[in-house]
This record gives sequence, C-alpha cells and structure tokens, in this order.
Amino acid sequence: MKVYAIAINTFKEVIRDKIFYSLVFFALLLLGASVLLSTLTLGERSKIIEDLSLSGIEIFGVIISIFVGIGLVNKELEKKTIYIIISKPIKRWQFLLGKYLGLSLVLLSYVAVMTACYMFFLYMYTNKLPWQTLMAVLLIYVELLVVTASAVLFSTFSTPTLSASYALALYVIGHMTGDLRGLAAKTGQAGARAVLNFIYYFLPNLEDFNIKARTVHAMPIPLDYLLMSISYGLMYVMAILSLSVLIFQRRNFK
Amino acid sequence: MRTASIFLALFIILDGAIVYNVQKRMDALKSGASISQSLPYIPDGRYLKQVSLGQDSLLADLIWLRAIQVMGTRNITRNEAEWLYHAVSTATDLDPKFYYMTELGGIYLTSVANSHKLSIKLLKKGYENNPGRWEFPFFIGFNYFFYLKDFKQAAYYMGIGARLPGKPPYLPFLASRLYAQAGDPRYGLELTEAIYENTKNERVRQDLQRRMKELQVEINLDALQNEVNAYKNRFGRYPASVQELLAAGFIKAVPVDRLGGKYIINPKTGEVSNTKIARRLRIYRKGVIYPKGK
Repeated sequence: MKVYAIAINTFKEVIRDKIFYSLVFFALLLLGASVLLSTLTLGERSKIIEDLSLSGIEIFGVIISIFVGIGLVNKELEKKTIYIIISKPIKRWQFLLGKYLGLSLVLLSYVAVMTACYMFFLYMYTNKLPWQTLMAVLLIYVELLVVTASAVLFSTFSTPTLSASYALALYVIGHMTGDLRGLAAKTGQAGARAVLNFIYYFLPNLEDFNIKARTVHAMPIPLDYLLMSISYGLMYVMAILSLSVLIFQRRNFK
Repeated sequence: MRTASIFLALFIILDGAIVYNVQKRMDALKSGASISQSLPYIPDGRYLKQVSLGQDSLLADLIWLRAIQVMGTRNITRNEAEWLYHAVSTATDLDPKFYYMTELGGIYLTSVANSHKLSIKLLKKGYENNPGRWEFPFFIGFNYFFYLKDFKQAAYYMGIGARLPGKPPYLPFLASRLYAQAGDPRYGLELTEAIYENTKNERVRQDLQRRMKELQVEINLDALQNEVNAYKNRFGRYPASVQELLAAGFIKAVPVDRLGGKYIINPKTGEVSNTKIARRLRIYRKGVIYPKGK
C-alpha cells in the first residue's frame, strides 16, 4: 500500500515534469517525420515508418528512463524532501520500489501513447495495421524497464551526471555484448574465455529485446522466445533493484 | 536490518543464477546465427570518418577485428568475400596507414576466398595509401601472375615492387624473369639495369650483371627465333645453323654471347637455343618461384 502511494505520487510528479513533456513532444515529432521521410522512398513505405517509429519510441524511451530515472532519488535528496519521507514509517525498499514502479507506469503510458500515434499514422498512410510490431513494442518496454532499473541503481550511490553516463554506457554496452560471446568462443585460452563469458552473462543483454527488424519484416517470433526474453528482463530488473536496495539501505543522508 | 541484507544478497545471487540460465537458453534458441553469418552493415568509409569523432583509427581496428572473425571461417562464400572486401576497404579508408591489414586482407581474398579481382582492387588501394611499401605491388603482381595468368601486368607490378626500398633481394630477379616470360625481355633488361645502378651490394651487383647478360641472351634468342621462322617461310625448312641465317642475309652478324655460349638451331624443330643457358628464363607453375639464376 505504501509502495502504491509512492508509485502514484511519482507518476503524478513525472507526468507534470517539463522534461517529460519536451521529450514526448520530440518523440511525436519524430513519428511525424517518419511519415514525411517515407515519401522519399520507392515502395515499402510502411517499412520506413515502422523502422523510424520503433527506433524513436525506443531511443526517446531510453532518454526518459535515464534522465528521469536518475532524478527519482536525487531530486528528493536535493530538495531535502527525503527527510520527510524517511522519517515516516516507510522502509527504504518501499520508497525505492515505489519510485521505480511510478516511473515504470509513466513509461508504460508513454509507450502506449506513442504506439497509438504510430499505429494511427501507419493506418492513415498505408491502410494496414501491423499487429506483429506490437511484440517489438512490448520488448522495447521490457528493455526500458531494465534501463530504468540501472539508472535507479547508479543514482543510489553516484551523482546525477555520473549516473546518467553510467546508465547510457550500460545501454550501449548492453547492445554489444554479443561480440563478447563470439570472442569467448574464438579465444583459445580457458582463463580468457571464462572471464569473457562471465562479463557476457553479468551484463544485461539488451539485444535479446531487439526484435524490431524481425517484426517489421513480419518474420515469426517464437512464443517461447518472447516469454523468455520478458522473464529475462524482469529477473534482471529484480536483481538490479535488490542491489539498489542493498546500497540504498547503507546510505547516510547528510 | 542485517538479516534483511543477507536475505537480499542471497536473493540477488539466486536471481542472477536464473538470469544466467534464461540467457543461456535464449542463446541456444538464437544459435545458428553465428558471428560470421551475421555480417554487420558497414557504411562507406568516407562518411564513417566524418562521424567517428576523431576515433577513426580505433574504428578501423574494430572493423578489422570483425573482419578477422569472418576470415576464420573455412568455406567463405562469394557474399562473405564481398563483405570482407568492403570491410577491409572501409577500414583502410579510416586508417590508411594500417597497411598490414590491407595487405593481409588482399592475400586472404585471393588465396582463400578466390576473389582475385577484389584482392587486386584492395591491394591497389593499399598501395595508393602506402606508396613506399613493396609488398603491395608484389602481391598485385603475384595475383596477375599466379591466378590471372596476365604476365605483362604481373611483370609491371613486380617491377614497381623491385624498385622500392626494403624489397627482398629476389624481387628484381623475379620481375625480370616475368618480363622474359611475358615476351618483353627488353623491359626486363631495362628494369634490371635500373636496379643495378641503384644497388651497392657487390654480391647482388654480380648477380644482377649475370641476369642482364641472360636477358640479353633472351632478347637475342627471341630475335633469332623470329628470323628462323622467316627463313622457314621462305625456304620451307629450318636453317641448320646461325651461319646459314647470316649467309641468307636474315641477320647482319652472329650475335656475340657475353656469357661465352653459342647459339644453335635445331634443324628439325627450328628451336633456337644457347649452349650456355640450358633453359630459358621461365617461371614454372610448379616448383619454386625464387629464381635460381645460376
């Protein structure tokens, strides 16, 4: 119940935020641009709109997750409102989880609004509704959950600027870990292979959530793949949040 | 508080184990898409250089590392060869002085991927960027000689390589030999003379001198062979000796052989040969390319 109250509060707070509005505005602008850009192509107009829209939803979602995510805890510290909250009978894990869930709710509504706009544009210009791309949107949302969790984790022990860089770096690395696995398979040394494999499994594999191109080309997505990547994302989020709570519990507020 | 922390830490470990297993299963599901099969798209090097924010050299390394992974595959397809050419060519644009990469890419393309034209294209690019490196013209020449059987081009590029610093000592000899095989011993002689002028090592100069004499013999042999054929056209038979050619007015004088041998004509086949040089300057496909020359 306390978690719920904090979540709702966070949701309202972020929704009123100017940053959030400007980001959504630019994301919508990109969706509109995708329609314009698609007039330049020959045939396959829908592919351009779909590609640009899905990427736009993801990229702006990541920016929102990171820049709003790191502010969740830090804003409370800056404005000293954290003293009021932790003096209430609220456990720190409840506070952190509430904040996280609040932002997840914001992201959910963001993704929903964007997807609705994107579907609308696509229907207006091509007269078809690519339902299979909704699976890509679903996994984009799971990816955003992972990125948000990492932003929260970094903000529990670091300054906002550094947290943002860490979270952005993790997002970039998360899309490249596949190379680590390839490297591990090629290397002859057992020690190096163990280290590379460890790093590969330790870091989030965000490519798992990337089925954008496959859905745009209407290729089949196995259901077990979809379920597995969702559970992977949720499990990963739980691990990160638990770690954040561990760190946050030890933190002193001056 | 403490027990809660321990509980949380245990949970993280447990959860991590689950994450690990899920990822492993997903990898198994995704398997089949190995690193070599997923050839990443690489934009044109000229544009990449502009957006690399000054990290062009590093970017070249990364592309090169990716290309090496593809090189590791045993059976390379035409598609992969073209991708490989594009990748190495792009990396060359990004880091033109990374000559080793370009060179190895060129060798790989021709010897493993059987894409000789692409290899030559890449090596020429490498040579443009590194005009001082003899390896590029050498391998271009090798491509022309060994795979495309274009001896003239081969000799031309070997000749370029033979004039560059750091070349292996056999390169000038190889180049002159190629000119002889291409039917242009005159070019070979010119080339050898040019290199002779620029060589200080006495031992090499002696070898070059001998090679120049051999090339002269080669030029004489070619000239005599032409006259023998003309003789056959007029008289319906081959001359038995060089003197016969002289008597019939086909040549003005018996050529002097500076190696001390004599020119003889086989009256049955009409083949002109030299007593001092058992075999003519030729490079045989089987056997050593390194000219024994002695």
